[in-house]
Amino acid sequence: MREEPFGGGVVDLMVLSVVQAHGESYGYAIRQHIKEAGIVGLGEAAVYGCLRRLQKRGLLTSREMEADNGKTRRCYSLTDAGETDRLRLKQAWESRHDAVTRIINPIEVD
Amino acid sequence: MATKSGEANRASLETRYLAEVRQCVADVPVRQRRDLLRLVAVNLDERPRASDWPELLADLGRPDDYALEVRREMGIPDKITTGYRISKSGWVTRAVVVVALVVIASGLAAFKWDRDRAVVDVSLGNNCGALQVGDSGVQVEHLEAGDVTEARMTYVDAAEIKIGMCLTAQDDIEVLKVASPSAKYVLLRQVGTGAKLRNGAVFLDAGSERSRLPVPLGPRTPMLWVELTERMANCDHWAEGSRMTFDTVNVTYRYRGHAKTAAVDLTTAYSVVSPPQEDCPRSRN
Repeated sequence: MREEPFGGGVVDLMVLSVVQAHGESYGYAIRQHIKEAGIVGLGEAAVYGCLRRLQKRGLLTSREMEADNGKTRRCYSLTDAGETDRLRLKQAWESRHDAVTRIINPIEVD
Repeated sequence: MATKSGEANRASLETRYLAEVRQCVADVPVRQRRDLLRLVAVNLDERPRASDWPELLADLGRPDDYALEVRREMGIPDKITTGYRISKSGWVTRAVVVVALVVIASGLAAFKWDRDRAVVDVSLGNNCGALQVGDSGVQVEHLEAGDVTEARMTYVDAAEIKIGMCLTAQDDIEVLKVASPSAKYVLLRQVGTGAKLRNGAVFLDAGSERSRLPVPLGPRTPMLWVELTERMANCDHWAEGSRMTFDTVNVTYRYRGHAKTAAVDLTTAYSVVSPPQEDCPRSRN
């Protein structure tokens, strides 16, 4: 798995969360949701690579669907294992987020 | 026509991008590379088409950066080197291993054509000829992204469709034959110098002069062009809605006097659907 600082898994968490929130989604749309949320540094390559990796781990399933424009899209859905992992990653992220918040906003003691 | 031309140009941008990514992942084992390139192709297919190269680079980043990022996400090391790693054993063992490697290397050099590098790699796409409809009566729905082009062809009698096929190969390779290995449906059989689909619906003629000529490939011209010509035939043997799909071709080529056949996975599946009766030039009866 890709190594990231502070334990990693953030990209996985974002991707899994988007799929969980929006239901069956394809790569470009997932990336757009993430971008629109304000994460601009995550490239399409990262999202598509992440989707493939998560699928291999059994956290996502995919199927080809035909879009209105006739194009074929590979749409991903969350598996039960994916939802379990998403919750685990979410908890880990919240824990880290709280810790970092405490560090950058220290309580001033008189 | 201008629209078609513009569309083709934009498709060629993605083809070029995919080709450059392909070069960046040449060190990745073939299975993983194929998987990775399919992923890139899906990405290129699903995203809105860029109008020019700078825009595509602005959206996706440079191909080498893209390749690096996607391989990292897929858990593929940044750089894959081959070779033996000598363990912490004694010098005698090391010497034996070195000698063995020299012997093996000598043997491989002698049979170089039989190694993986001699196996052709393939892609489909506009940079290698693209789909060209040779008959205006043919209806072809293109689902294109980079060099992944799915062609859904509506049945028209005797129309020809050329599919560009780009093979990467070593020097002095002569392509002898390109055929489908879909034995399940016995889609192809050899007729003369070409490959032919049995029972009608599609005629694959790989025996064009261009594909059979020895192609002098060198370091500066690493791409070998092969053209497949599909000929839509009649409805005689195919029920309405019958679909044939092939995503692999066998390429038989000669290198240094040896003929060899390599199964080559196409980056997309080609489907041919038999049309409704009213669109059949000849009756199904």
